[in-house]
Amino acid sequence: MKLQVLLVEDDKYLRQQLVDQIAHFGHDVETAQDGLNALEITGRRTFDVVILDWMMPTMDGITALRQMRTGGMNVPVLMLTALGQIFDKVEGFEAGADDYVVKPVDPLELNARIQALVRARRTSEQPADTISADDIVVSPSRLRAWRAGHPLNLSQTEFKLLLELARHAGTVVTRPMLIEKVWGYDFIPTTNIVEAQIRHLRIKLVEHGDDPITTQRGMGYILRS
Amino acid sequence: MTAQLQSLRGLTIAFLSLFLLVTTAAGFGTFFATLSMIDNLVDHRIDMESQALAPLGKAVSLSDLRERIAVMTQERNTGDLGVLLTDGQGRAIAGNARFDRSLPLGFSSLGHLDRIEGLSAGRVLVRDIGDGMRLTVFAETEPIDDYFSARRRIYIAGFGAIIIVVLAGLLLFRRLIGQRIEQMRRTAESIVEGDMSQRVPLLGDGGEFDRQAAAFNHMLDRMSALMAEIRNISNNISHELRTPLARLRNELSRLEQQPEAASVRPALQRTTEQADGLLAMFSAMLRIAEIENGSRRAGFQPLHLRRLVAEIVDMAQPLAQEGRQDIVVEEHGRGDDIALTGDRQLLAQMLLNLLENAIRHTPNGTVIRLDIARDHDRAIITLTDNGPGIPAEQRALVMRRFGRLDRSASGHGLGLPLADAIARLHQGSLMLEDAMPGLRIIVTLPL
Repeated sequence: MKLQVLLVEDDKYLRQQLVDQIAHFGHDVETAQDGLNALEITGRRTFDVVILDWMMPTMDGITALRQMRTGGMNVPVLMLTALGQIFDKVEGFEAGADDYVVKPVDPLELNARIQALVRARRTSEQPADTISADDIVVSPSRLRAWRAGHPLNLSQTEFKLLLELARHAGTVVTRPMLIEKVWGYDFIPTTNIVEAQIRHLRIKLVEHGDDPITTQRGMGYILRS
Repeated sequence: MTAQLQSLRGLTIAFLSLFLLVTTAAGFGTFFATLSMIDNLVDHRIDMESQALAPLGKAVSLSDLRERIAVMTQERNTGDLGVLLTDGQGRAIAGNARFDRSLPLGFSSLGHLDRIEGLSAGRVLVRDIGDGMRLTVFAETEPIDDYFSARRRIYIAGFGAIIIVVLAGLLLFRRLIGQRIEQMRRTAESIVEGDMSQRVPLLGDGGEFDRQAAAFNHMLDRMSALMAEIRNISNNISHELRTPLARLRNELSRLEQQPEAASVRPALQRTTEQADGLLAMFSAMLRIAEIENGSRRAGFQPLHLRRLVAEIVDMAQPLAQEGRQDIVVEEHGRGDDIALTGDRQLLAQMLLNLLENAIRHTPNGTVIRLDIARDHDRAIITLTDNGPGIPAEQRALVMRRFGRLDRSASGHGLGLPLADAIARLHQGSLMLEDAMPGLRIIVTLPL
């Protein structure tokens, strides 16, 4: 999915690196060097997603975000910041951020997250009771899932994992994203706990077909769309 | 004894005992010294008067003596004296008093028992003045009746008042000092528990205690400034190193995906993993720094421990099962959930860390037991495995940052220090024990 991305970052060197990394995934990137500049640009044209640095001169990211939200702009916003404490996170979400990544961020992780944000925004705009990915159907309201018409007997955790993968079917869901969305934790386990959980899910999925989950080494998982 | 004297309580008791002893001794001393002084003065007077009646070494005729006695007992300045002249058979010849007993020669005391009208205490001098005659002269030692007991009451009241005032003053003084010291102790304890914002309250009177408290507070300000500086430096180092390291890691993962990299891909993947390990180490360091500055305490919320443990066990169980290990939550510990106030994220991280450690450092087939119990006002989480354990002499090492037993093994040596920091943030503790065989980790959290 090719996206229109606005990157707001004051550090020239980091900005260039991020532009290269985002463009590497085939997205169109426009840049702004501070909050004020970002408001100007977003007033002129629309974007699929905004990547917004927190600490910037002239106008910081959180002020810019508040003004964007007050102005009725509902574009998905991912805050990018060097601060990693829980209260900053709360402040960011309260200002209207959709996701939050602590610098330094892995380009694959960043791409996965902006893809997920855009996809989530589109699904919320077209609410559906079930989510489909290839021959897999997941019903969040009924807490049930099927593959090729066969009901799947999943544990609560396995169901949440499948739901998260299905929501972003076709794109990478990273381990930190899964830890955050499935378990609600803000730390990364030191062992391959997620890998073990995915293996359990896979065992249940392959009872009714081939393996629909691809592992991206060192990165995350993709459920075939 | 010396140690006792150095405590405020010991010093108070010692001082009070000494004070009581000295005051009582001084009271009795003054009382009896006054008595004996009066006796001496009276002795002197009766001696003089006795000499006046019958001068020593001079013969006096009986008629002269009778006359002198009559005069003496009538004159105003000697009228209070008692005089008795007796012959060789002890019969009274002249004088204004009679005695039931025979008095010894020389000075002696008189009392109530002598039944002399108007005399409760006195001194008497009996002299042999020749021809078997004895001249007895006596005088009262008390200006009024029962002067002795009246004086005793005065002394008790006077010295008693002094004792009470000093005692009350001392206790008040002790309480004042005790309170100020207690305030300082409480402040120091809060500091030890990690609340660097506590200071000793000042009264603002500019007294010694205030000055000392101000100096103490000043020292704390300086200490927390230095600590903040050190913390900032280490945080900055972690942040600053993390950025280039992440850049390096990103470049590596980008290279890994290039088609030209096919031949070196496994090596690139290993290198990326090593960079990930380093990044994880920095995350753990920053996390410990975040925990130790205590700011997360503000986000403490009520939570249920058993539910949290069940969640974490559910999360780690598949990994354990892959190594044919098993995590067992002890059944006997079940029952009502244990409610405590804390940071859910951090407690989850602590529990998961401990389980991951147990899974990683024990061989296949190991059983990891988790027991959650409530003991009065604290929750006790016990994690026991029947793996190889950690020798007693190395337990302190693994609790230290970067203190790994096997440098070549995976992990950054921050897992247990991180768990320990989380327990301490919750005013709890983490202990390692020998489970014979295996390792037992006991985490205690106050409710």
